Amino acid sequence: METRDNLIQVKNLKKYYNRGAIKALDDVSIDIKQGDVMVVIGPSGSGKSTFLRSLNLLERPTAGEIIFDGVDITQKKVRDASGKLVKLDLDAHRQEMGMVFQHFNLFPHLTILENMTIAPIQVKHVDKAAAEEKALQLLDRVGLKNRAGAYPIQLSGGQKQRVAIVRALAMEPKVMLFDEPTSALDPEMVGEVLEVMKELAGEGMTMVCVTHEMGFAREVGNRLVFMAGGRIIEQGDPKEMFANPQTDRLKEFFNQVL
Amino acid sequence: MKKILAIIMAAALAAGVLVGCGSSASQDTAAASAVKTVKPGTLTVATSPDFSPFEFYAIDEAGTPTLAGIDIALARYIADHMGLELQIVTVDFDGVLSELSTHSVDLGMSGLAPNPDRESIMDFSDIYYKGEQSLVSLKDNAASITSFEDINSKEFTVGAQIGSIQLDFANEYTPDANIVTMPKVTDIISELIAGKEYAAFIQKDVAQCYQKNYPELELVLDVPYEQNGLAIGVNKGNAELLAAVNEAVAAALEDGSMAQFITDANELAAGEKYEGLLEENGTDSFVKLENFPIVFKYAELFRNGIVVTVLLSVFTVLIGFVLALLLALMRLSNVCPFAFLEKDKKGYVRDGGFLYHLSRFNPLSIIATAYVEIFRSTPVLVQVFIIYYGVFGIIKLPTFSMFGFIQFDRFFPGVVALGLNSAAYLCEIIRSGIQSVDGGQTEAARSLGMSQVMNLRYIILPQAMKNILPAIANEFVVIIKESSITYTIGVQDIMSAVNAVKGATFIIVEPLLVATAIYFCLCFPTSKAIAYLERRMSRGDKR
Repeated sequence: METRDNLIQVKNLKKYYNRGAIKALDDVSIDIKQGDVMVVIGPSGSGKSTFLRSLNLLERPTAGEIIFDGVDITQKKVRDASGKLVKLDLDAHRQEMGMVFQHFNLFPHLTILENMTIAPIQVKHVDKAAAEEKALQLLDRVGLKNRAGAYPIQLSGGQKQRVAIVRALAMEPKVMLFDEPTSALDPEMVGEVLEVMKELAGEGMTMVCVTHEMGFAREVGNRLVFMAGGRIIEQGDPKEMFANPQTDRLKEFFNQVL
Repeated sequence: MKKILAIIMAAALAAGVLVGCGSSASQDTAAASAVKTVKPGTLTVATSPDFSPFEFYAIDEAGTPTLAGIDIALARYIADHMGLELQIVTVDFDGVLSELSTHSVDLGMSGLAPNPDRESIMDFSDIYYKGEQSLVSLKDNAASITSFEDINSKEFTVGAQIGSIQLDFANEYTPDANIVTMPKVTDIISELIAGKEYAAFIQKDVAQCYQKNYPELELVLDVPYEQNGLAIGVNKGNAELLAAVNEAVAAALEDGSMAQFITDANELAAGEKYEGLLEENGTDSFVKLENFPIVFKYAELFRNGIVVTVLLSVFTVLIGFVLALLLALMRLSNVCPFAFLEKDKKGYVRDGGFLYHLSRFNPLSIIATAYVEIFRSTPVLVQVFIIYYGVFGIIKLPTFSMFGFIQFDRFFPGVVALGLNSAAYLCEIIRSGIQSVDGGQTEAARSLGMSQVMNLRYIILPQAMKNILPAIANEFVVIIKESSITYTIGVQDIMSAVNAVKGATFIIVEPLLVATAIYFCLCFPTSKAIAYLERRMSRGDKR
């Protein structure tokens, strides 16, 4: 029997370019369990971002399965509860996977509050007042309630990324995907964003995080995945891996970044 | 994507309904009284009012510019004689021939001389005016022209009106000369006076009229022509109409009306020009201030022209923009009927080869791209003609006038043609605007669970529109200027006012200056207003 708390199962995920000449993802399989804080590290070009972006199909894999909440979301058609073949509603599944980008990707023409409420109102048909109340609560949590009426351009990088995180949270996702969330930030702003992520992990949110922040990987993550050349080279408990890397590739990597 | 498809279906359906309405309307037209006319109860006459004293705009007692001349008076006489309402359609001279060949009008009265070539597209009435033809040149040149042979060589430029019988003379008598054709007699006169043409073939009465105003002109030779005389072009194949017209013409000649028309028209034509101009109207000065008050007598034509030009531009932009948005979305759409070929036998997504390209085959995008390329690669004038004479030659539009001076059955094809043309340009503007929005925006929206349509509507289009506002403003200004081309299908815009003044008063440069000022006053504030709007919209995102 499969373990009940598997939230995402990735099976033999492949992403090829130029008819297989370039393998961005080369047969990646991994299970992400409820409450996991999985940190993915690796040299640039290792496929870690491609892996993360494949999870909510922003990147369409060449082959493989991504079973999210029991549904293989790489298929165009799936069987519903009664066994009938129906069209997969990818948008519905994407709502449950919040995503935070390196470059924030806030909507520049909307205020912070509108950035937060547009998806709940349009996608989940939440009442406007309720959506705004919830957005203000979330903004309060990250200390940005007073900036609700501002436009993204008026915010610092760290503030923007905090807004981006709570914008994703406003959709009440089951998992949060972070794609190098601190790479585009000035060094003094990295801390405030990591603090929010740490808090989120403490609340039991399932998280998959691609990052270069080794401190965060060691302290906050409960699983560490090391990728290189489109493959998972090593995975396990972060503290153990940092203390005692098994492969030469990982040793070499730690030598370069630590 | 389903919604986009639905929109396209709806548009196709609407077009179908339009076609349906059109054909039923034309069936109504078929049911008429004894003499069938294009529009029941009305005699529709096409004319080119640049041909004083036959047809031109004169200022009436109330100070209003009105159509006058021998042909106009005769047209009224014929309509009265037949008990029909008279409707006059003003177009270029070759437009008169086109209108007759497409059976859009009942009669063409524009100083037409019968010739065998023209008989293929129209029937001719009996001769109503014995006219003669002449070769005109400047007084200074007169001595050098004693026969056609003197100017029958390459170094001489000889003018004639496009599509006219005079062009046939030019080809017959001076085949080796450099023959240039102009749409209007006034244009030929300006070229003669400017020395750009050495001589020109012009109908004798018309030439004499011009000579009164431009004494430097001289009628150097008479042109031998057997069928000396003018006739009315009658919608081909309508024998009852031809008989009725001939009867009316005979009556007009019989009761002395015709002689009266000729006298009146000549007096009126002379009166329009004399106005104290004659002595001073030489070639030494380019612009004469005292000519402007005369031009301003035609203010009403200019005012109507402004209304037409503005309405034309506004509707063109509306039609163009909606269609362009649809085309841009089609170009960027992702509806691939062979998408099932996406994966190979192993279940891998293809990234090359024939089947890969087939799986990416997107008919909507190809249709939109073809549309854009065709409309951008052909002249707008050709498109206007094809839409007016081709498409709306088959689909008959209801004939009514808006504000009393805009003929819907001309205005509408003009708007459609300009709208279709401008959609091609606007489509590319909108497409580039959409593509200029950072890809991260779509990723963020889609990762929040927003559908493609929501993403487009709430995230991409608002940002794209802001980016492309300057380009759209530019296109709007281009349309205001380009709309003057609809003059060729008889839309009475600003340029038609210019031509009316030129034809009636023989003043050429001044009405053009007035039109220049009007176009500037329309275009300059428009671009300024949009620049202001743009600044306001971008206030929020100054870094």
